[in-house]
Amino acid sequence: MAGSDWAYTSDVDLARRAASGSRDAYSELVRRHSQRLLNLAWRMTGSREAAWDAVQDALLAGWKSIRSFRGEAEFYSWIRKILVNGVGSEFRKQNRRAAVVSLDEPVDPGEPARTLQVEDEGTDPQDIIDRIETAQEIVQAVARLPDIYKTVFLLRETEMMSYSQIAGTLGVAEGTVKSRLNMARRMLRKSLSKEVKAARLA
Amino acid sequence: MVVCMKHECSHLDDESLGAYVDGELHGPAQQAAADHLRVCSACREAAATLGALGSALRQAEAPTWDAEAMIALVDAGISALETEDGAMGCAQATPLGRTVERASRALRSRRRLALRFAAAAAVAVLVFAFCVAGYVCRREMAAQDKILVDSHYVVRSGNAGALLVSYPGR
Repeated sequence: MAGSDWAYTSDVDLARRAASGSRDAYSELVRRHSQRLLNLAWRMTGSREAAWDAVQDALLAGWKSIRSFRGEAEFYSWIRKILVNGVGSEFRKQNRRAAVVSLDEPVDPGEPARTLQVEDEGTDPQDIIDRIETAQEIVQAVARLPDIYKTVFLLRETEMMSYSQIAGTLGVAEGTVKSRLNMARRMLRKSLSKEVKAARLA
Repeated sequence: MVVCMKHECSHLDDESLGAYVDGELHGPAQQAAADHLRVCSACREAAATLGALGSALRQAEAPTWDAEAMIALVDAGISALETEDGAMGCAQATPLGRTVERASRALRSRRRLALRFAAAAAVAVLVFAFCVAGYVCRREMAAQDKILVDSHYVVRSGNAGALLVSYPGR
């Protein structure tokens, strides 16, 4: 069946057909969702090539486990979880987190939570808003965030996921999502404050 | 989150402010944050900044992607996966395939048997070597003991000749 013939078929039906072996149905799912997946992967990895590879891997993993998709959640949410976990696993493999210990989770259950002090530098919030409304600095600033903060921030701000959905996707507690998100925003504000100051000096 | 004493209020903490902007505060907490934001311009600006971070990111231009190329890649990947899986299935689907499979299974079985024999032989050799080493060692120690006892006897008695007498049966 050609792509246009699937226009009125829901994702759940397509997934069911794919589970029965229909590669055409799965191709239609890829057609519908690859753009969003690629955008998310691009923002997570900061690279077109890495995003392309990550999405391809996620879609192949999705095909292999399509029978486990029961239609309780949206197909996009299901495949996005595979993508996010795949990218996270790749981050760990590349040891890109080596210098970043968990700053918001205690090592031992009895230990109090640690916090990283990221101070704002006293820049007027309006200056930051003006700056990010007129430039692409936000994208670069997000790309520079440590992976654990970046992932949570992107899932919240570009995927508009709730804290509980993010927690479910990443397999962490909601409190962890909240503190990571807070940390990501602090880091971004700090990063953009520097940009504002640099722009004033230029 | 926010403490108000008459007209003096502390600001919303960052996590609460973020949760408010994200629509994750509910009930009294949400109401308290909303009340505070009505009277606190600093927190309103901070909330606006948080909102602007997200909206700027969503509006930022993303690359254009070739969805058809992705479909082709994924399809090729699925073909490769099915070829891998099919290779196993095909091997058993034809008479020749079944013969090859049986032969390779027999070969694997023989290899396993040979490995077991080799392992048993290695254990036997080790045990034998250990026994021989133990025997030699014991003899050596007995000889050493004898020398020590003999020396002691000579020293204590001062009579080397009596040494032979002190060991009846030799």
